[in-house]
Amino acid sequence: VTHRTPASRTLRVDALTRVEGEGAMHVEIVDGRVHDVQLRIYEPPRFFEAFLRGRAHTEPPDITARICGICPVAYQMSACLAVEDACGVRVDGPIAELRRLLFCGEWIESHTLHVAFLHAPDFLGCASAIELAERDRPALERALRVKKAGNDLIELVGGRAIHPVNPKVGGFHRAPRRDELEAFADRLRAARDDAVAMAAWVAGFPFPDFEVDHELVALRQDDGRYPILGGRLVSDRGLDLAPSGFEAAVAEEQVAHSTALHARLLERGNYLVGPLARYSLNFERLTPLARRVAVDAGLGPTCRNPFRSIVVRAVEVVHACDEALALIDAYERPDPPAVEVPPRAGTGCGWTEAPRGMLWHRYDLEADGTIAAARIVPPTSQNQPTIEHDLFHLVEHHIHDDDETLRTLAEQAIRNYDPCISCATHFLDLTVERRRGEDGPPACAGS
Amino acid sequence: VRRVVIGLGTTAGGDDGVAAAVLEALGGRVPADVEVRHLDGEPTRLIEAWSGADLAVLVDAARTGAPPGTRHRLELGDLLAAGRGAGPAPAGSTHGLGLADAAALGRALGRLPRRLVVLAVEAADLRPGAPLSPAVAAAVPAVADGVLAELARER
Repeated sequence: VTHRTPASRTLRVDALTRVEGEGAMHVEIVDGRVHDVQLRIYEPPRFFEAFLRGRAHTEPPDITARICGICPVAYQMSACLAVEDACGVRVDGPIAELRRLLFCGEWIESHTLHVAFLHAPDFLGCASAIELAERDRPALERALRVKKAGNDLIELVGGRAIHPVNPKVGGFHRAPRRDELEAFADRLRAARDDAVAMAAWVAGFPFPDFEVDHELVALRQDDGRYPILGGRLVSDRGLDLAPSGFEAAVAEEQVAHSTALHARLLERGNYLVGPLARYSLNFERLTPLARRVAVDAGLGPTCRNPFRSIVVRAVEVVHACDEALALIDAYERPDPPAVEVPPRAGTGCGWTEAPRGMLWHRYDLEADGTIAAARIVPPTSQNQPTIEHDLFHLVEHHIHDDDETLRTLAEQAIRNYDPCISCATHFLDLTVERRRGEDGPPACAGS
Repeated sequence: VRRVVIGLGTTAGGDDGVAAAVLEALGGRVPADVEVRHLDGEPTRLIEAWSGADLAVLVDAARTGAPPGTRHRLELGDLLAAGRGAGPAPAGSTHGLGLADAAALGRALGRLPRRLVVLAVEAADLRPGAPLSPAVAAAVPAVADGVLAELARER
């Protein structure tokens, strides 16, 4: 609905779907210049941090898995790593490999959902996946097959797909037998073929020319593999942190328009986590097949165009299928499936690469394992200032376009980051307000 | 005949947990050949869950403005009619857009169940961590019986 008065022009969109969760965006244009861009986000981790206090050190994997229906494994794994760190236990070997296998399932499922059902319609001029399904049913059927393979892998290793119940602090309640995993390998090989085709499909989409100069931040594993679980946090500008150093390096600020805290690196400013950062910092660590698919898709060893994140996600799906197959091939059933993690007083931190980017947890434990404090920094709150930054510049470049064009572009730009605003409802309200300076605060070019 | 019962919603969101409570109340009373799933409402998972079914019975929380605990019954046609308009589906399911989306997407992909019934309970409190409201909890046994009645009609 658009209504005009002499002084202001407001475009309002209700029921914008295709982001995970609930959010709203407000763009204010004064005297033909962008005055303000605000992304409003409702974010449940704050509630969960309070909910975790007083619980046992064994509970965070189950509790935090409920924060997000799309990436429960990342929440569980960051929680496990942080609690184990607090207790002075390092879990490696076959248990860590099984965790990595589970994580591959989540990347496959979450990325494929976003690539084909949430983001692809933007590039093809479709209002939704429904319209896309009517136009290109085979492409979405292929994506459904890939996504289901990821889903079933999570079920096989995690016990069930939503809120997996099998992972625990120290490892797993039960480790799958080798023959159970081998029986799944054919499904994964088929999914990998489909994923290669999906990458070729998205590579042909039209991409706006838009490069960003954000500091790219991702985990770096010391075993030479593509980052998924643990390691250090590095950037393209020399950042190098251990999990325990993250809090001192990052400031989270409360801003009026969002319940999510905005994260900024101290003295460095906003930064970018997620597929673009992971890919650009770790291109050489992709499997040979995933690297070849990336090159065939027209990607260089780095990618700074957020609109091309859809291609990077598709490449990461190929990588995750490939790596899952290698993990199954090398699988040794951990026995026992979990190590003991006796509680002790202390603080522990852990991080993983959720599909949307780095997810950090911290737990302060009392001597009996009771949680005295918990802190969770999800990828979307880290990316929020960066998303607003992109929107500011995109809107400025397209300031003379009509509201409808602007709105479509802005929505697409938000979806570049697959923001996980996790929870029950699925709305993003977008308002564009144009007005003359004398009717409101003094016009300025932004801040 | 393939029948599936799907509970929708999280257990971390107050009355959004009504479906989980209904599945629990059903206990061992569901016939052995009926598949029972608990999902979060993400459309493609829903489509996978009901693909090829003769009957899918969905249990969900709803927000229509009716008194808390009010029971609603919807069929496939109601969902498809709700479509993807502005605002929540007329039924006001807490997964309203997700459900209407899933039905429309399922239709476009040729993956709808032959018959689909939604049994929903009007929610009062969807805040994370809240327990089921008394009125919603009181409706659970009747919804469980409703699920069994729908299943009995399709044998």
